Amino acid sequence: MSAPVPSAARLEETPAGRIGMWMFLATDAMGFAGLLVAYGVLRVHADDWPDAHERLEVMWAAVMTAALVTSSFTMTLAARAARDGRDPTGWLGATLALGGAFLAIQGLEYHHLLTGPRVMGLSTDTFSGTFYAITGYHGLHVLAGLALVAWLFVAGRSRARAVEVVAIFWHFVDLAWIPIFSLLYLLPVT
Amino acid sequence: MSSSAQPRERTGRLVGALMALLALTALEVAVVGLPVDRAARITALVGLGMTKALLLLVAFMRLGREPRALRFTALAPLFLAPGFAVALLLEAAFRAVTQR
Repeated sequence: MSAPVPSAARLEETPAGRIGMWMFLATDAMGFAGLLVAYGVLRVHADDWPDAHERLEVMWAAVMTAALVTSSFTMTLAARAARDGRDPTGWLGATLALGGAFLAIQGLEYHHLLTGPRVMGLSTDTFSGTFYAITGYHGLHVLAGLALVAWLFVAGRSRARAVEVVAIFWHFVDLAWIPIFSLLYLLPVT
Repeated sequence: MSSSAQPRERTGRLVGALMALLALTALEVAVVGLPVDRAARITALVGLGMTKALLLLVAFMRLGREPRALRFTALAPLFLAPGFAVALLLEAAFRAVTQR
């Protein structure tokens, strides 16, 4: 006989902030979906599409992915510490550092693309336009998440419920990066 | 199980999820360079990406512990968006074929 599965919380007992965050993320996910679907349709319609590997540094993108995934882990531990009544600031600081590293690498990537030997501007071609639109939109989400984590870092342990709600948003930022990494950086042309 | 052992076990599960996510990311990068058919690489990438998303939702976002209504709210876009994408891409491919 299998072990009993812990039952899910009742909606009536769920804090309003948590419900609000999930509702917001459902709509925000459709925003990301719209951009990614547009990318897919443009790519299928295009007569010629550049190989991402010739323009983008896939290894650096993998490092960015690793930083974001690890920041999700530290944010989970911050939320658990806050739930247990312990001080989450250490884990929040680690999340801030990893999220900051993600944005710093993205900034370096943009700098390299805009000023490097093979300039890829916003209007160079359809690939570059969609690349900057999607990664920029995601980068703004990371920035918003970092601002929220920084606020919690300053507020400390008195904001236990807020840590859990911000953690959901932070995980979503990580979740949204998964298809971006696959579609923009990895999907082979040939 | 003692109360002190439970958090350690949960930490172990979280570390396991993190390691799995990092390993799946490394696999994604490795798959792109494999000398196999493009369709096979794309299928592998989609599978790895979906596994990562599911792992993140279950292990870190703890979606299973949310009320059913919230679970549906969160999962609806995840299923609708790929559905729309497939429909639009099929439509685009159909147009490209019929225009030739």
